Amino acid sequence: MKLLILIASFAVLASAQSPGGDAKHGKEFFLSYACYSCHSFDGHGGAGARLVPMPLNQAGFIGFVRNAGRMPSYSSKVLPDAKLADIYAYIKTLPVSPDAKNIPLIQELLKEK
Amino acid sequence: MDRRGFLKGAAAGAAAFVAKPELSGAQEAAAQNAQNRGANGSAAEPSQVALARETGARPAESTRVIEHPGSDYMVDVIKSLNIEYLAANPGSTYESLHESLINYGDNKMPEFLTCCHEESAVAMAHGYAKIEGKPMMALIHGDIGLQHAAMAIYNAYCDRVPIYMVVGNHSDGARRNPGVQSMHSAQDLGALVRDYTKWDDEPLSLGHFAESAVRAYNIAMTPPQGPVLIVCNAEIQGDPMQGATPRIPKLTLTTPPAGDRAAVQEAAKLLIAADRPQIIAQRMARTPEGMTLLVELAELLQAPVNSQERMNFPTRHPLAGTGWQGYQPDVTLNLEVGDILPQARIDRARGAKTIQITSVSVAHKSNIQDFGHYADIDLDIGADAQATLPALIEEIKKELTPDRKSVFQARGAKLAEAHKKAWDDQILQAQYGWDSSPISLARLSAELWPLIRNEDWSLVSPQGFVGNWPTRLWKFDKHYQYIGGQGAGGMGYGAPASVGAALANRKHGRLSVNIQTDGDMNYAPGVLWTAAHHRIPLLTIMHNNRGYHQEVMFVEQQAALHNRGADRSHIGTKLWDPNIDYAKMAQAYGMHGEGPISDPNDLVPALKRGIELVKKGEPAMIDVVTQPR
Repeated sequence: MKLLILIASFAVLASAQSPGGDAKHGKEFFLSYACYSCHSFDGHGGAGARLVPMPLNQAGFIGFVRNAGRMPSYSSKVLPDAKLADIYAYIKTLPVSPDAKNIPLIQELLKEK
Repeated sequence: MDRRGFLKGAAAGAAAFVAKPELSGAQEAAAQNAQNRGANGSAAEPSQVALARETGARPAESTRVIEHPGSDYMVDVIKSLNIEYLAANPGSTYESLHESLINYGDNKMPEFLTCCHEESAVAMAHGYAKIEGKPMMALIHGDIGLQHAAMAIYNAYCDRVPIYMVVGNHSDGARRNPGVQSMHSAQDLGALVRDYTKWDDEPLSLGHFAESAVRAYNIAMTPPQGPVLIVCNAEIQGDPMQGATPRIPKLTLTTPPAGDRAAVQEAAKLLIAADRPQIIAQRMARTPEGMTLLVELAELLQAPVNSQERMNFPTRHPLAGTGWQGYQPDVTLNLEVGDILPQARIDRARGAKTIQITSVSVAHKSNIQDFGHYADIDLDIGADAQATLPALIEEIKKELTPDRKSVFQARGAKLAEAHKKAWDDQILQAQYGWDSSPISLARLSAELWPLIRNEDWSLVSPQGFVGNWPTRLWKFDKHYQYIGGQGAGGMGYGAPASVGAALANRKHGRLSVNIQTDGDMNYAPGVLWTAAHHRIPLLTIMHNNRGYHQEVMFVEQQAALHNRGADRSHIGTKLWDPNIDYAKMAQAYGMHGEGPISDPNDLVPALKRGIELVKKGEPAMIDVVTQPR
């Protein structure tokens, strides 16, 4: 819950988009900085929160990473804004999951007694 | 002396030995030992058998025959305990007992299971006991084998699981050979693992062995259950039996300690008066009866059951879970909870009462801190929870008024509604990453379920590292359908425990499924060969995330804390470059192996092929490349 409030706060506070990042570089950073380890390789979550669809704008995303709460926070010394902008751009390219309504097996599980 | 000359001299010595007049047993043994040690007491010369190994020559026929070694009697004692299997990696400190078990004992009750590591042997016994509810034997070689076994013993100790261990030792310094035999022996062998063994003894005679062997079984099975160890002297094993055969004591299991009557009455009153009770069941339910009792208690109270560590409550029971959102328990009943402190803190913060029932309260040791913290609680019943539930249930039935019953029914209806919502929410969570490659653990678990749900299945692996997806998606309602975790969190448990559990399931015709983490697999993969060799049907599905994923996250946390980048967190934590080919690993050990499977669309056909083979009685492995968690 705390995490959601934080995310929401950053989304509201961040009023302007930073310059667009490079998704190709962002993918490299997403992997090399091991973002995937908690958020999965395509951002659908695991031990960490789901990143897709990304609820924050770029400034909100960068602000969150700087003071993340439950997740480790990364300073600009180790993850400069430019790299985070690239990571953000990459996350925005990741496809959303299919809706549960369109997954027959999930529908079957929901009906199971 | 060069090697050829050394061997020639030894052969001459052996021939001279045959020509000597017969000696008394003790003298003969001494003479043999003297010969083995060498005439001048310095360099050890090879025995006749060793000589034959070296030269290929057939040794002269020995005049020394021991037709009734002490180890035959030990087999009689072990057979009296009705142990089905013994898991062992061979070793010379128990060679006489080994021979007696397979020949005199006809390799039945117990049957020998060849293991490639002592840790595998003990962890197999761990998994077996969790299904079968009784110990398997692990036969261990001296101090080197026992040190290999140590981590698995510790897991079983913390998991309160009975294991019957026998370890060989050359105890008599006057008869022990220099060199290897000395290095493999100890004056107090049990001390190596005593901190995390429930009981150990080193019998000094066959009569002593009989008493201690039967007592050890009794102690292992008395809650809190745990591993026990009998140190078995090579001399007592190998010497001929003399005099009257000692009587084998009758095995009578100690009844589990049940809770004090007054304390149980107080617990009943607190639970009846509670508006929002909660039951937390951890290592509760040693047997299927424990699960039946827990269901009865929960239904009587209409209280939610937070089930952990064991299969002790049906996952789709309307009372399974932690209650509706905002459900703040005012009384918690904690059954065999390992460390009560976290719950006690929560209870104290909200003014709730904490009741604990655990046998560990009256039986823990000093050094290892597995017993957890001392905590402020309101009622601490030092007793086995399962043995105490009948009295608690009776007391609640006796004290329950129609008014309270009516309140309970209303609560139960609300809890059932909350359970259904929580269940559906969990299923819906599986949609995220459904099409991902590597494959999501939710997808893996979801796709597996329809393939096994109509079988008599058993999940023989821990779930913590697979996001608990099986519990979140499958319907567990039988005691043997889940065996819980490692106990002490020691890795290397999963693969062998699954083989042991699958062995226990085999005679019941159950389909055993192991979702196997890759880090754990690589501690002692030789257990795959044991599964293949002994035809143990087991479907192993690799959760191949190519790393020690938990540790990746921990290193990342530390990097952030130290204001350094996480871009080196793969160092020391990842299992890539090269990727490990588990299909080939399985094939090398003699079982079906296929993969790596990264496309979710390829998953079901591969799982089906694996299941078909397992249903025919074989082990099979499917390597699935997975998301980290």
